[in-house]
Amino acid sequence: MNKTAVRSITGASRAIVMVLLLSVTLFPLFWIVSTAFRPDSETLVNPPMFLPHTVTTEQFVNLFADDDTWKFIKNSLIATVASTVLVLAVAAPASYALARHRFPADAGRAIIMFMLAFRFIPGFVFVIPLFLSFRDLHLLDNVWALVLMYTVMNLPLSVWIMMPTIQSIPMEINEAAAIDGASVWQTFTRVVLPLMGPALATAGTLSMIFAWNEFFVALIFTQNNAVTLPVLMSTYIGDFGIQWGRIAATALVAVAPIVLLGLLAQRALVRGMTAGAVK
Amino acid sequence: MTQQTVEKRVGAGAQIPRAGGAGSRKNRQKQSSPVWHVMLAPSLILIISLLVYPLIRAVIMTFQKTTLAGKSSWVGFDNYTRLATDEAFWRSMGVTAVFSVGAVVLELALAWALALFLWNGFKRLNTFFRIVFAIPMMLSPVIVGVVWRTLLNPQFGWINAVLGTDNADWLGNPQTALPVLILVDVWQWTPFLFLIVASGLAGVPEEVIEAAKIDGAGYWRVLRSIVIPLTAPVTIIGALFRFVDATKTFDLPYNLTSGGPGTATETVGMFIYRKAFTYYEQGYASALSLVLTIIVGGLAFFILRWLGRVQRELS
Repeated sequence: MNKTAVRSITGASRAIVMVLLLSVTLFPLFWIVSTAFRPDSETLVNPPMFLPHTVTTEQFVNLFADDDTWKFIKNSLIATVASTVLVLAVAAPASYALARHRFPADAGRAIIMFMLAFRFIPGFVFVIPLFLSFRDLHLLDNVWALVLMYTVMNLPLSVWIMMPTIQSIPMEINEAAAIDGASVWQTFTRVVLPLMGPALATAGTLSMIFAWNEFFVALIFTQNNAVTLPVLMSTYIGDFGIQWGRIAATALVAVAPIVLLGLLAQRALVRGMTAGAVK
Repeated sequence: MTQQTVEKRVGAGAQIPRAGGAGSRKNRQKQSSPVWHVMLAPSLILIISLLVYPLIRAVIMTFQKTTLAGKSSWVGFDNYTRLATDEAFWRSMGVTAVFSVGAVVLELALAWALALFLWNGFKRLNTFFRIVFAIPMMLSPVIVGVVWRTLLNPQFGWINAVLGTDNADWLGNPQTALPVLILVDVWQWTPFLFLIVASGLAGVPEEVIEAAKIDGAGYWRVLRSIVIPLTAPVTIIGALFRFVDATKTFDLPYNLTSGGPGTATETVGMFIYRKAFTYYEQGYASALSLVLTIIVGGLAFFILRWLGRVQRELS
């Protein structure tokens, strides 16, 4: 066999593996899209139909006719947007202070170490006592409790993403600003913050995805008023177990924003996903 | 992200004491500015009230017995002696161990195989395709669990139709439920390790490989002596984080199998959840989660230390 033949065989087998990978990856998404746009009569059939005979939007019409759906979408949006805005607002100055100021007794280092260690501790350790505290404060089933939880849960990763960016800004820039009479706060808002765009985008994208998808805390802290989309989705395994059209339509509503965000924030995300290796 | 940037990030922690290295008078004035404390305060308040305080309260709760009404009484080490002999707990730890090790080993092997196979292709792989491959890890485990549950339905599910296995009940059979749970996790998380390995491979300098080839090194030799040592540290850290997350797995079994059939897929996360929020034995559940933390944290600590030693020997 000559070299060109070998090369074209490896090229072809690579292409086949790529196609295979792509199909396995997208198989469940194909189910979601294909099932969301068919009538109930075509969902529970044996053998299954991979494509609908009748394309219809009736699953979405039914889903959105339910007032609860809107309530849950609103809760998910509040929890996602508010916690992301909050975590960026809180993490950016904290990262700057941790990166540029030496706190007494090396406290800055201790704080960073604790935030890292947080990732190794299972959520139960925090959630069980917090469940009792929030119950005493009458904050259970309140979407703002979720906002607070998601903010603190995203804080370590956000600081972790922002600190290297701040450290890469030359000290001379800070010193020049100080000589020009800028205070610490002015240096931060006028000099450092504008240079942090990519880090803010990465941290913000990851926070949004996390909060939109979060299930464990939402399941425990909500009952009715503050239920989010993942919790709604999870109830389908019980009562709605056979309403596959409804399951697929809800899944599409929950998945679409994430995929859209992924495509819009491609660069931020590729940076961030592998930053997740050390998140 | 390339290996170097990962190291830079890991190194970032070590550089902290250097920050704010004083010098001029102006700098010293800046040092004492209360603004620094104000900038850190909101984060600190959040961390103390929502992480440190519950952590301390959880430790205290492990010495208490709580009732449904919320009354608690001191029971000393009873919760710990109880968990030591709680067969159901250790069975769930066993399920978790099989799940975590099985999933991470499979994901790592697949990620390496694919990354090596697609090595040259990956460089040409544009961001769009990387995002498409990464879609599973962006999805909520709830969606993943519920959708795979329907796909695996014995009568109407698509999996049996594709595989030609009529009416096979993958999730209802105690023999297959755990392997299927592992495979669904592999579906969701292989992309994560693949991206890490693939970008690590892309960061291996081409000249080094060419030089080795000129010196007569074959494919395996290049792999063993150059590629693996250069990419191993990032890969192991990625796998370690995956492993730690897998030991905490709750969302996926909750939605895919509900822990069943019987207790075949009841991970320790599911077990603690039931103790804490179905039976409201929150003191006992706190003790369980603390023991889990110590076991997993200890494992992670030893792996990291071992990794540090290996890295020092290599350099």
